[in-house]
This record gives sequence, C-alpha cells and structure tokens, in this order.
Amino acid sequence: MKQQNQNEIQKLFDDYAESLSPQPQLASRAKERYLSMQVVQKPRRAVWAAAVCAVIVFVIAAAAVLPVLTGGGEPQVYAASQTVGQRVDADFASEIVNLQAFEGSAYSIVSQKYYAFRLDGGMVYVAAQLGFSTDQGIVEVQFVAEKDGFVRLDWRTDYERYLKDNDGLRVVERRPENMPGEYVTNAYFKANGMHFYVYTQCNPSAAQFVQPILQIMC
Amino acid sequence: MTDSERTQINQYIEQIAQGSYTAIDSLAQMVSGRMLSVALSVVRNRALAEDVVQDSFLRILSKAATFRKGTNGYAWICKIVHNTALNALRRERRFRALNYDDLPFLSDDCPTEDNLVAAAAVQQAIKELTEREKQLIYQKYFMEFTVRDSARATGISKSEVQRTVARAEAKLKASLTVG
Repeated sequence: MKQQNQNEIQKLFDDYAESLSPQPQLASRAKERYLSMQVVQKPRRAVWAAAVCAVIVFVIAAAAVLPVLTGGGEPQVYAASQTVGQRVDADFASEIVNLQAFEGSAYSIVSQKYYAFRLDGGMVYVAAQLGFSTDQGIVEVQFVAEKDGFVRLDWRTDYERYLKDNDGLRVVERRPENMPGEYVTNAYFKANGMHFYVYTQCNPSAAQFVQPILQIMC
Repeated sequence: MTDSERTQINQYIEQIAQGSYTAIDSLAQMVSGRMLSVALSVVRNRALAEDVVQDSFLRILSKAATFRKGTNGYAWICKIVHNTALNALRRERRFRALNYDDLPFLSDDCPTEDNLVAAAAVQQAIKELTEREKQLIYQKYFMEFTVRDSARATGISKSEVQRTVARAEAKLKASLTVG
C-alpha cells in the first residue's frame, strides 16, 4: 500500500520531469568554456612556474632578512582594545580560510558569520562562527585566524604553547564541566600565513567528524 | 526516472571521466531540463539559473573522475546543481530561505503548455504540505536524494527526515485519493 502510494507520487513528479525541455545549449557553452580553459592553462603553466619560483626565492630571502629587521622574529603583541571590528561576508572570509574545500566534502556549511578586526588600519584577525551538518548532527566551529607576525595579548600563552614552534594541526580535548554531554575541543594550526585558534562543540556521537573537518580547514 | 535511464546517466558520467566530450551532449539531452528546474528552485531567476546549469556542467566535466561508480549519478548531478545554485546566491548576496510554495516550474520562465499542466498537477498535490515537507518531497522524488543527502542538505537528523517524508506522503496520498 505504502509502495503504491510512493509510486503514485513518483509518477506525478516523473510526468512533470518529462515535460521539461532539454537545454543542450547550456552544456555546449560549458564545454566550450572547459576546452578554452584547457588550452589557456598550458601556456599559463610556464608563467605560473616562473612566478612560483620567484615567490619561493623572495620568501627565502625575506625569511633570512626579516628576523634581523624585526628583532629576532618576535610577533607584535597588541591588546583587544586597540582593534576595531566589523562584520564581513563569506567572500571576504574565503580569502582567509579554504571554504571552497567543503563544497565537495561530506560536511556542508549550514550557518556562518564572520568578523574582521583591524589594527592601525590593517586587518589583523578574522573571527568566525560556522555550523557544519553531519550525519550525527551539527558540529559548531568557532575560530580566530590571526595574521602571522601578530599575537593578541590574551592569546599569547596559547600561541607560545601550540603555535610558535608548530605548523601542524594540534587538537586538545577539553573537559566541558559546564556543558555535560557536549564534546568540546580546542585546536591550533597554521595555514595561508595565518595562525588559527579553534574551538569546536558538538554532541559526543558527532565527535568523529571534528578531526576530518579541521583537516579540510588546514 | 527508470533504472535504464539511471544506468545510462552513470555511463555518460564515466565516459566524460575518460575524456569523451560528446557524452556531455547526450547527458545534457537527458537531464538539462531537470537541472534547470533544480537551479530555478533555488535562485528563482531564469538568467541566473542558466548560469548555474552552465557552471554545473563545467563542474561535471572537471569532477567526473571523482564520481563513485555504482552510486546514483542523477542524484550526484542534482547535488552539484543545488550546491552551485546556493553558491551563486551567496555570491549575489541575495541568500534567502527557499520557498517551495512558489514552484519554479510555474513561473513565466517555463511557459510551455505541457509543462504548465504537469507542474500544476504537482502544485495542486503538494499545496497542503508545510515548507519543510515540500522541500523534502521535492528532494526525494525529483532530485532522488537519499535520506542521508536530505539530512545533510537541510541540517536535520535522518530520523526527522524520514518522519517528515512519511507524514508528507500520507498527506499526498489523501490529496491524490480525493483528486
């Protein structure tokens, strides 16, 4: 009976789908764009290779010279009161964190808010609140992505403990005394010239997804 | 959609992955109308929806190699269109809640008579459903989303998806019986 009901509903939608006109011109245009991208990519590769080499040389030179100029490579410490914040959109944030990487992943972003903070007119860090949908519920991720070379005063301890001499992902589980039944972690990593301080919260059955989500962000 | 059509779609995707550009034309002949409908359901604008379908074909061309054999190729395409459409809306900074009451296929964008008759039948049948029920029924019967796909797309649990779909199906059954 249930199957018959489902068949009737399916037929309704199938009849509608049958009535839709094909749009082959859209595929043709996409194919042309795809082929032109393939053709353009080949000469571009040589240009890119040269540019990448130049950047590598510049980075190596800068790495050698900067510590001398900045007094041993110590980051500039500043206070929260010196910064000015404003809400920004996902386009702005996507230059800081690789949000596109989630498009093909098993975790879709269901909520997102971003705030950028400036110090003396230059962007110094971005704070974000993200919700990822998983099979076991939402994983909430809050993070601060701070520009390399700067450390906010109240994050200095964490910076020196987890980020100063480490580039890789460090995940630290927290005991959520005030949130029984929640799985809470802090995480730290460096990416795109920023250091990331991350806080995650979810129900314990979704804990298995925290590390994979962080891996995609790295 | 029949099983043989699904098999055919999967074969086209596999041929595209192997570098066949003619397979994309055959695929377009089969599913581009449906893709446009999915895009319209999100962006509500014919020109933008066409851009979304075009971008979706580009993504199919570049991502066909990552398609997992044996899975539902049509649902995979629908997911690509759905995600591309959501991204397009974000880019346009016009993100808004989806309203399935205003079904895309009843807009002036799809004016053929057959289309209107078939769309009106769907519209009539689902008019008693809540927004969430319409969304999940559309995903199940038109986009061929699994319970898991819908749970991911909507951010609700799989059991809640199943309960909501069962409730919607019962309402539709009553509606179709009366009709």
